Order: sequence, then structure tokens, then C-alpha cells
Amino acid sequence: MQLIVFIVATLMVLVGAVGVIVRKHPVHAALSLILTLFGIAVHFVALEANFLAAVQVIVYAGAIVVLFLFVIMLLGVDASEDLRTDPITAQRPLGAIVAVAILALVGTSIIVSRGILKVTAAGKAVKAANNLRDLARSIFSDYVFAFELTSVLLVIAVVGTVLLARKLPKPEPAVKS
Amino acid sequence: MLSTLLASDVVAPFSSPKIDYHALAPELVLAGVIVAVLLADLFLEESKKWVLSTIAGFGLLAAFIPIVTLAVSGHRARSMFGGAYVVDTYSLLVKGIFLLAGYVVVLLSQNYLEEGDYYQGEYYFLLLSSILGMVMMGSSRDLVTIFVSLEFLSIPAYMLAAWRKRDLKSNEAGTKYYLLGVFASAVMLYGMSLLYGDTGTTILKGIGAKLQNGSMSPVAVLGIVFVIIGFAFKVSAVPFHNWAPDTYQGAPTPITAFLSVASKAAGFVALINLIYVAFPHGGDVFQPMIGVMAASTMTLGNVMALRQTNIVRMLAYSSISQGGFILMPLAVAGGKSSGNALTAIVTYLAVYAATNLGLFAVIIAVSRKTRSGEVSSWGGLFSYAPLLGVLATAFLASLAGIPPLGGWVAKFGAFRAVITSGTNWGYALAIVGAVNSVIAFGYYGSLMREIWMKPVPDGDTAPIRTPSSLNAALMICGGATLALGVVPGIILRFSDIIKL
Amino acid sequence: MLTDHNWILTVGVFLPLAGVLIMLFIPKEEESLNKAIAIITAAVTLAVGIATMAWFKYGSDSSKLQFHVDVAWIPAIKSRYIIGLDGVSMPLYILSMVITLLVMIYSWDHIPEPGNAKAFMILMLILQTGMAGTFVAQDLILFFVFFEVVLLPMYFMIGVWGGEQRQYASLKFFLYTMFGSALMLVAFLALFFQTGAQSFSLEYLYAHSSMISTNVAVWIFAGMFVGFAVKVPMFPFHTWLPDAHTQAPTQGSVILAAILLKLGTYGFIRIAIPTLPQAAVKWAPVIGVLAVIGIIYGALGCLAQTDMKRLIAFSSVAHMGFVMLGISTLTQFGINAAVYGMVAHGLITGMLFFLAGSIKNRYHTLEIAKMGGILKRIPRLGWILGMCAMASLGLPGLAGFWGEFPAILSAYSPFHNDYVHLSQPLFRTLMVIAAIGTVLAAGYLLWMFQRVAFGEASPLIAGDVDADGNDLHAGAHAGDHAGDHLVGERGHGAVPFSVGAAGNADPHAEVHDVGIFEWIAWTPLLIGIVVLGAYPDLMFKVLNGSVTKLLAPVQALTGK
Repeated sequence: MQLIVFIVATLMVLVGAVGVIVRKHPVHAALSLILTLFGIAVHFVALEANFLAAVQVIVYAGAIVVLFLFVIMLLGVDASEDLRTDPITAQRPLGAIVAVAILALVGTSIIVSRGILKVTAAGKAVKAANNLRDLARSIFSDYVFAFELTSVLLVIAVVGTVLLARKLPKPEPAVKS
Repeated sequence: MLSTLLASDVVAPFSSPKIDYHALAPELVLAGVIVAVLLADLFLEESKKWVLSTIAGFGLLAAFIPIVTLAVSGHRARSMFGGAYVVDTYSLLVKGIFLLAGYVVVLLSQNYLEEGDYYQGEYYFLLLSSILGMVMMGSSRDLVTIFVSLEFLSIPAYMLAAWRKRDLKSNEAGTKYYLLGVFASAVMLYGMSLLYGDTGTTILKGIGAKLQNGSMSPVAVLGIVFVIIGFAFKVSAVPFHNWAPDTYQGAPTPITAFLSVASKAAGFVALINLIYVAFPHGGDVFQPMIGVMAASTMTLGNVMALRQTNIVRMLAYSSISQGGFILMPLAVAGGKSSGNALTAIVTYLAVYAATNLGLFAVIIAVSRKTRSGEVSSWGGLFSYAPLLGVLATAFLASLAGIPPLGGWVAKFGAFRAVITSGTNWGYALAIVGAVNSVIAFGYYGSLMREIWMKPVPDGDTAPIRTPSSLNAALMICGGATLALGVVPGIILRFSDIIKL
Repeated sequence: MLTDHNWILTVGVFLPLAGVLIMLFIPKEEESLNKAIAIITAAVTLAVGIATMAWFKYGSDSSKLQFHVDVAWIPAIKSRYIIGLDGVSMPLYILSMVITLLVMIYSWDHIPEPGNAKAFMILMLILQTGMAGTFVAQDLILFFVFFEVVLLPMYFMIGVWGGEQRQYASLKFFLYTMFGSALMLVAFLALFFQTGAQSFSLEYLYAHSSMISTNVAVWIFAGMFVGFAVKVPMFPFHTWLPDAHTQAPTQGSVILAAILLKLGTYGFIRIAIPTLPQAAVKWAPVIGVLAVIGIIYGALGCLAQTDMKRLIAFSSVAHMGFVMLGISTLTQFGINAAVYGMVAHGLITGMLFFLAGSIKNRYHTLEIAKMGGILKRIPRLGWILGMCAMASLGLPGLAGFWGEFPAILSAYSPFHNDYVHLSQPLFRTLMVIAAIGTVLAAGYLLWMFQRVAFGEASPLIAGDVDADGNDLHAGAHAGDHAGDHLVGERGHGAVPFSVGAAGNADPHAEVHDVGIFEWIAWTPLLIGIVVLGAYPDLMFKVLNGSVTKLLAPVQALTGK
């Protein structure tokens, strides 16, 4: 059963990821992204990380991708883009080769490490029921500093967005660079 | 499902983490100043916006005060959040460098902004945020904190690079910087997740204890490689340097100065934290990698710089090549010259900050008159602006590593570190570095030649007026560059005692 | 610490910078004031130097480091501010002060195009600090810093005030020297670590040279060799020299020839040989062979030159070959001769460049073919030229002889002790070839003097044509034309500085014999050439003790 769930979820993730890249229509690409994010949520559930799974679905699949779609529609980029321009010759085949090489590298190293790696990551056998509490504990104790600062990061993002969207007060003087 | 989530059995009460407010004071002061700038911007009239730069400048100096008090308080390292955030002499030193460099950038920006009709409030808000990220980076000893600090210093920088919205080049600068930066973050995050998966902790010290030479799993090796590649983007090491020239050229000049000095230094600080605390036993993995990167970075940066005709672009490549020199000692870290390498890098960062910011101050001053970024626009600078000419020469000589200006101390330290390693590998790097410091004079010398030996291109020899903030920046950088070269003890006495 | 007047070296080295500080506050329009302050600074510096000479303990004490100062400088890298003066440094230290002062006096009415006396004088004062500092530094890092300080001022001196090809020549000069010193720095660091990373002090390094295995030492020596050999310059690193000399202004050429070249040879004697004796023995044959190649190559180069300044530059390559030959024998005799040769070459070649500059100033050309019979028009200058040519070719009784002759002689019996010896047949062969070099030297110098000085005055010297061969009697505007030519020579006329007044309208008015400032600048050099020629022991006495001491590590070699 676990294996089947794993295979299905992984297929969702991979198919979605490939879809994001190969679909020419931005709306289709965004929808493919939902598939990927959903697959990850399934993985979380399989690992008994229920809270994370919920957050994954609500925030990513729900909020962020919907925002993407809004932006795409507002900007009116509903026609497919011509992505055939290739500034550097042989860019794509080279990219493919590098990607395959990295994939092979990661794959072999994981296979080789299988025997060496001990199960330490999830070391403490956490009861699924205590998921949320443990998460909250680590966020508000060990990672509290990083967590609080992330909120400032959001303010930065807001200021930056406003700034980039705002009209300039008056035209800039021409500055040669 | 919700009921199971919320159902709670009896557990130990939550004890809030201990926070050493003295140790966090620099960050807290900066955060306060950031809020103050944002609020002040709301209530200030357009004509009084200059106040913002004053707030930002004094805020940075105010954040410097707790650094001094922490330094004299004589505490050993103050560690918080289970070792995720450590304030020690090393972090204080690099924080001091960041704050002072930030102050100089504020001085450089003042007139540039006022005369260019740019938004001032947001500019200083973002600049200070980025500096706050760097200050945090100095203390981060945990993968999560490092990542948050990195985003903290990068995201504002992406926007600052694209500041001149109507200028295509500036748009290109911001976009390129953003896309490649995000890509690098992704690579780095993947590496971090592999490291976490292997060692089961995000605390660098814990990772360091788990990763031992010889018994490292391939996954951990991959993790180290990916994390280093992620930061190689940040410090624009070859082959991950492509964004730098375009970004530097397109960004507003004070921001270029900021990126090439502070942002780059922050990348190095992160690399130091990782290599010294998390991978001290991973020398077999990172030494050859960083060594090759260092050699190719300085060589390629130099060779490309020789062909440039735009000053900022030339300095972009020069900064790439200087990055190679800073990487050089890192390539022997972990061996017996670890201490020397750390001293060398921090010294180099301080000297490089003073020198490069000074050079950018000159560029800003000169382009106020010439309105051009071409090398030829500097022709005959000495004849109509002797002080600027002499200062530019001093900064260039310092970058080239000619005594008695600061650069020689930096280069000397880097050579010392690689030679102490006593390996053939170290000697080979030293020779490559020596040859490169000669090549570098090819372009530094060509700028000097323009300043001293070429005629004024348009015959306009009216003297250059420099606003007082620019003068202050020039004086700070010039004084620091000379002082660091004549009495290097002022930086070495600090950088020599730091340990990680 | 303040015993035995040991402050005097620090004052002597840094006093010129005080002059620079004062001059920074004087506007550049006040040319005379600037020049006066610079000259006074140089004169006071020389006075300090003379006081140093007076307080210097001669006799058996001359081998000791005197006026020794040893204070902390950069504790973090174990480098200290150690300076001191011994018999080998003293003559060169004083020579640097004398030459700077004389060059400045000469500059009073000879500021080269494009003017700006202030910057020119400031650069010379900075140069002086670098040169004097190099000769007293007793710590490798301090030595390196002073060694490098001279680079930039010289670069600008050639690049701004030089001839038509000045930018090319200055960059070439800089890149060569910088390449050498980068490798030298790496070698210094390697030396530091191989001796236990304790100290950069020369005294310490002399005492611990035996810690380094010969194989490693040979490589470290290679780094230093490149650094110093570029500066000397030895064949095959010499190619920057003719360009730099030809393009440099007179003052630059004089300082370059008289002092800067000596920094390289001094480095060999002070640093490379005593700190790495085991490698010096291995390298000595290589140095000897390159030195002799330099002698012959320089001499043949001279014979091929048509330009007087270029000829003198090539003769420098040959003369420094003699100095290096003396050094390569690693004998007391040879190194004594080498240091003597350094000082003598400084005086004589410095003087020759002064003369070349003055001739160029009068006739705007240095083409030997266009000159002839200057004895007829400007006899005093002509005879001084004759005397210097004689001194340069090594005529007994003048200073040059005592540098050249003993150096050749020393190759007869190169270094040997009970364990190690240099190849006698090789060095005797070198001796013979070097002797042929002196014959060639006599040949090119006499030939040059004959073509320039003797015979009837050529049309140019007689003032009938200008440097381009235009007939000056042809038209009323000929004088203006000469002036135009001078300005035009600088490129497009748009020079960074105000165009000076050297474009004299009437060449006839200009051709006067040796002027007052020239007399003041030259007389001390001429006296030096004669006195050192007539009474060589004056200097050998000072040198000998120190040379013995510097060679002690070589003497102590056991061949292991």
C-alpha cells in the first residue's frame, strides 16, 4: 500500500514538474504546478505529517497558484509564448545533458549511500498527534529568531512590490550609463 | 482530522528560549531604524526627504555602538537558540565591517538619490534591510538562519538593482540578479536538505561533528558541493559569475558599490561559517573545488577586465577577480593554515571594502561631471581634479596590491595562508595568484594612465564639485586604505584573534 | 631604544615625506616655492645623511648594523620595523640622497614637458623615501614595502613626463617589475615558513638558513632571483630597460640608473645570498653565465644604437653584468667589487644621463649621426662627456675601473671552501669573455664620444638646421616652426598640464654651455668619480667588514 501511494504521489510530482516546463500556455503550466504541489502533500500525509500536508494544500495549491492564475489573467498573457529563441547555440541540448548528468550524480550517490545512511533525521519517534505541537515548539524556541525575521522579510517584499508597481513622481533625468 | 491535531495529552510546559538582548542589540537597533525610516517616509514632505538619509546614516552608526560594547565586554562567545546564533569576536568583526561599509554606501547614495528624483524612503528601507541581513549572516550558525539571512540580504538587493525603473539596463540588472539568485538559492536549499537528511540537524556545529573525513556518505558530499555552489553564485565565482557584469553595470552606482563590496562579503562570511563550523573535516571535498574556482575566478576575471571599456564593467570583472583572491585562502582552510586563512579572508574583506567603496565614490564624483561611464571619460582627470585623481590612483594601487596602500596587506595575507599550508597545491595557487596580480595591473594601470597621461577628452577642465557627503565617503575610504597599508596592525590585531 | 642616535635613520628615510606634506598645501601655480621646498627637503635629508656618516663607526665596527632600531610593526604577521645601516648599505643610502638632491637642483630649470613641478617634485621625494628605506630595511616585509613604494612614482615619472612612447615604456617597466616582485613576495613567504615561521628579520633568517633543504632552497632562490634580476636588470629580463631609459625624462633616467637598478643587486647581496647560501652556490654558475651574456649583449647592443640615450641604457645592461659577475663568484673580493661597481655606475651613468638630457635640451635630438663637433660649440659639456665616457669604460684612475677590474679578477678564483666549490674552469672562461666585454665597452664609448664630440661642428650643432633637418636660415618663421614642432611632439597638443615654456623659439639663443644649475648638480658627481677613482680604499674599507659578514653563511656551508 505504502509503495503504491509513494509511486502515485511521485508520478504526480514529476508529471506536474515536467508539465510546468513543457506546457507553452502559462495557465496550463500553472495548473501543472498544482499537480506537483498536490503530490508533495500526498507525500506529507504518507509520512504522517498531517499538518504540513494541510498547509501545503491550503497555502501553495490554494493561495499561491490561484494568485499566479490571477496575475496571468490580469496581465492577459493567455496566448502561448514563443519560446523557441535560443540566445546561445546548443543551449538546450547542453542544458539537457547537464540535467541528466546531475540526475545521474544524485541518483548514484543516493544509491551508494543507502547502506551508510542511518535513519537519524526523524530520529525521535514523533506521534502523529503531536505533529503540530512539536512544530510549534521548534518554531518558537530554536528557530524563533529566523521565524520572526521572516515576518520582516514579508514587509520587505510588500514594500518592494509597491515600489515596482508605483508610478514614478516625475520622469527621471536621462542618465547615461 | 482536526480533532486529532488539536487533541493534546499533558506535556511539559513551554519554556521560552533565553534571549541575550545585549548580543542582539546591533540587530535590534537596525530593525528599529528600519521601521523609523519607513514611518518617517510616510509623514515627511517631499522636500524634507533628505532627513531619511540622515536617519539611515546615524542608525548604522548607532548599531555600531553595541558592537563596541560587546567587544569590550570581554565575554567569550555568546550562543543563543541552541547554537543557531552565535555572537563572538569573529561575528563582531564582520558585523563592524558591514555596518561601516553600509554607512559609506549611505553617504554615496545621498546626492545620487536627491538629484535623481528617486524614492528615498524605500531606498533606505531596502538598503538597511539588506545590511541587517548581512549583520545576521555574521552570527548565523544554523542552516535555517543562514538561509533566512541570505534571503534577507538578497531580496532587497534584487529590488535595489532594478531601481532605475525606466532604464532598460537597470531592469536587466535586477531581473538577471533575481533569476540567478533564486536559482542559486534553490541549489543551495537542495544541498542543505541533503545535509540535514544525512546528519539530522541544522546546527552547523552538529553537522561538523557528524561529517568526518573518510566516512562521509556521498549524499553529504553532494550536499557540501551544492551548498558551496549556491554561495559561489553570491560571491560571483567562476563559472557562476555571469550575472555580475550586467547587474553591476545596470544598477545605480551606489548599489553597484554595495553589491560588489557588502553583498559579496556577506557571501564570503556565509562560506566561512559553513566551511569552518560545518565542514571542518570536509577538506577533501571542498579544497580542490574552491582551489580550482579561485584560480579560474581570478584568471578569467582579470582577462575579461582587460577588454572592458566601461569603468563600472571593468570594476565588475575586477571585483570578480578580487573574489578569486579572497577564495584562495579558503581553498586551504581545514588544514594547518586554517587560522591564517581566516585572518587572511577577513583582512581582505576589510581592505577590499575600504578600497572598492572609495573607488566607486570617485566614479560617482567624476560621472557627476562627465555623465559617462567610459574609461576614456577619465582622461586627464589629474589635471582638473588633482585630489580625485590622486585618490583614484591610490585606490587602484591598493587594488593592485602595491605598498604602502592597504591592498598589499590583503594580498600578503592570502599568499601567507596558502603558503603555510605547505602543500604543492598551495604553492601552485600562490604562483597563479602572483601572476594574476601582475595581469591585474594591466587594467588598473590603464585607468591610471587615463587619469595622469591622457588629454581631457572634451577639453572641459572645469573642476569637479563634490557634495559634502561624497567628500566624507572619500575621506573615510582614503584614510582607511592608507592606514590599513601603513599600520596593518589596526585590522590584523582583530582578525588575528578570531577563531571559529 | 634611543641610543647611538638611532633615530637618525628613521628621520633620514621619512623626512622627504614631511616635505611632501608641506607641498600638498601649496598651490601648484607657485612653481618656484614648490621647487624650493623640495630642494630644501632633499638638502636637509642629505644633511641628515651626512650626520649619519659622521656618527657611523668605521673600522672594525663597520660590519655591525649601526643605528639599529627594532620595534613592533605588524605583530600579527611577525614582521617588525627593523632598520640598520652597515658598510654595504651606507654608501648606497648616501648615494640615493645625493642623487635625489642633485636631480632636484637640476630640475630647477629643467622641468620636462608637460610641467607641473609640484607633482614632479613630490614624486621624486616619495621615490627618495622608498629608495633610502630599501637600503636600511632589515626585515623582509619592510624591505618589500619600500621596494614597491618606488614603483608607482617611477611609473608616473616615465608615463607623464616621458618621451613619445612614454605610456608603452612606463607600462612595460611596471609590469616587468611587478611580475618580479610578486614572485619575490611568494619566495619571501616560503623562506619565512621554511625557517619555522618565527620572524622576517634578516638576522634571524641568516642564522637559520641551514634549516632549509637544498632542493627547496633552490626553488625559493628562483623566486627571489626573478624578482631581483628584473630590477637589475639581467639578461633575459632586461628588455624593459632600454625603453624605460629612453622614454623617461632626464631626471627619471638618472634616478633609475643611479639608484633603482641597485635595488636588485643590493637584494642579491643583502637577502638572496646570505639567507639561502646553499641555493646561492647552485645558482652562482647560472648567474655568472647570464651576467656575462649581459655584458656581451649589452656591448653589442650599444654598438647598434643610433640614439645616445639608448646607447647609455644598453651600457647599463653591460655594467650591471659586471656587478652581477662579481656577485656570482660569492667571494669577498667579488662582492666588494660589485658594491663598488654599483656606486661607481650610479655616479657615472647618472652623469651620462644628465649629459644626454642636457644635449637633448639644447638640440632636441639624441641622434648620434646628427651630432658632431660639440667640443667646438659647447666645449665644457663636451669635455665632461669625455671624462664620463672614460670613467664608464673603466679607465684606471676613475671610479669605473674599481668596479669593473676587480669584478673580472674575482672570477679567476670563485668561491670554494673545504666542502663546496664553484667550477673554476667555468668562471675562468667567464673571466676571459668579460674581459673582451671591457674592450667592446671601450670601443662603443670611444666611438660614441668621437662621433659626438670631435670633428667639425655638424649643421645641427652649429645651429644651421633644427632636429628635423629644416634649414633655420631659410625663412623668418623658422624659429616658430621649431617651437611648433616641440609642442606637436607631445601628441595633439592637448596635454593634461599647462604647456611649459620649453618650446623655445630661437635655437641659437638656447645653445649655451654648461649652466649654473647644471654646474651645481654635476660637480659633486664629477668629484665623486675622481675621488673614488683615485682613492678606492676610501670605500673598500667601509665595505669589506660587512661583505665578510654577509658572506659568513656561505663560508659556513658544509655541502650537506
